[in-house]
Amino acid sequence: MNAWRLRLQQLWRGAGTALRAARGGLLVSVLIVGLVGMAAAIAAMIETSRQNAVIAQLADGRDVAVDPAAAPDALLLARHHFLIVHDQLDEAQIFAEIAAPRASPHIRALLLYNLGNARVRQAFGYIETADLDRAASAIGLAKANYRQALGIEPQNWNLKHNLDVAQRLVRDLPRGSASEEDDPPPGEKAKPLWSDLPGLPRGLP
Amino acid sequence: MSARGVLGALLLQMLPLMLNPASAVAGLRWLRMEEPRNFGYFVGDTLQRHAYILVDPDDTLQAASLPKPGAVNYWLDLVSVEVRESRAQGGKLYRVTLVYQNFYVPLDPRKLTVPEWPLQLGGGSAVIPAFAFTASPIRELFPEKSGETVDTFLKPDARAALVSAGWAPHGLALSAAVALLTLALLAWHYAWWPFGARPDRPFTRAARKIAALAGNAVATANYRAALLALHRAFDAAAKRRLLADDVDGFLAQHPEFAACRAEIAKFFQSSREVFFGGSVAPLMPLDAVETLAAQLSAAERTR
Repeated sequence: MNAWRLRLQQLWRGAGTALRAARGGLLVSVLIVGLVGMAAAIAAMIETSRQNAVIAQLADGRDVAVDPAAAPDALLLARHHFLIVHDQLDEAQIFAEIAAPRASPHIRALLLYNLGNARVRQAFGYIETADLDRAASAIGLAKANYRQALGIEPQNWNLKHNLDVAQRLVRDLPRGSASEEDDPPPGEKAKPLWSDLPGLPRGLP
Repeated sequence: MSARGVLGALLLQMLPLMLNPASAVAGLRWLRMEEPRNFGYFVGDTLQRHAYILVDPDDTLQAASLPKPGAVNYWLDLVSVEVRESRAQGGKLYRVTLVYQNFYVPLDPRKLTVPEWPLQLGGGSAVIPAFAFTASPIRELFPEKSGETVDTFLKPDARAALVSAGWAPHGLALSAAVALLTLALLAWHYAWWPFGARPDRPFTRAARKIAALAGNAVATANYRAALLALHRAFDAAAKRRLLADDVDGFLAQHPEFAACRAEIAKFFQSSREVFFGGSVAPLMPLDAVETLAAQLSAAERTR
């Protein structure tokens, strides 16, 4: 019993001595860890302010190249929106397709949402020039975008709202010879298209 | 072939049928549905249905007969199908979870029906029944009447929000505090500024003084000053004036310096010769004194 206690005391004292002898080295290691942590934090803050600068520039209407295959999520959305605002819809489409696989689900849904909005606005333009065929195909693309986005974020209310807008412009109809039970009750099909669009040229099909 | 033989052959042919009457009865014991609410669905909403299917223990649900995720029809998607198998009531209980997503945009509240789906069992079949629910609109029927125009029809685009720095400022503050604290502890440990005059580090101070002297060496005065500095350090460490005869007692009290025993003895001898013997060629050159001071300085840091 006593021998054990003695042994334990010796061990304890030995550990204390070793620790005291290693004080300098330990402190240097902790200092290095602290400095590395500072460097990492400063690097992260610099990166954040760089991203914010790019976002602000794009929002200002100045183009900054953003690599869709490597850029962080916030930049993807900013540059994609820049392309849309500057009527580069095809580039925006390609950009979204490259960016989608690595973007977070939320950003993916927002990219699709913005694309859908752009298509609907495009359709409004076609309607004003009475180009109804192109308007209908633009609306079709918008609906596909919204639907895909809703698959990712079923509870995004702006998505639901704008899909509603697109659907009322050009209603989905049963594909091919769908069975009767899939049909929505008749009556809607008889409704004229563009029923809730103001200022429409009348007398067109 | 005798009549008996014919009868036997006939029986033999019927044997499988008689032995396996279960195939007619086997299969489904019951199917119960756990349905979600059947009203108040908007476009894009999902609905989750559970079908609990109890079958005989030797029966199985044919996985190929399950519906596949994808479009059911133009307004309804099947998002996911999940089957869980367990034992219950002496049979096999399947729980089939079906998640649908509604894309119908009604102009007024409207009854919609998820179509039924037949399932194939090992012996027999079951049907997941149709499910009717009410879908509701989310916009006015004629928004333009309340002043909406083409410009306000769509909800605005999603804009990129500015990125928040997140953890970085906190991380910077924390790691800077850690670095400063360890730097202060290091300064204290090595008796750097502002802890240069730390009383626990006499040899460190002496070593610094001697190193400064060694720079402009040669002069005897310098050598004497170096010896004196080390003497004062020994005095401070022993807390009394230390003479050559006291060295053994001192080392017994301060075992951390014992490794330098020979050098210390040599130092005291050399000091006696220089100060009292009038020796011109000292036993211990200045850089040896400097080395000893540095060793003692390292040794006192392990206390």
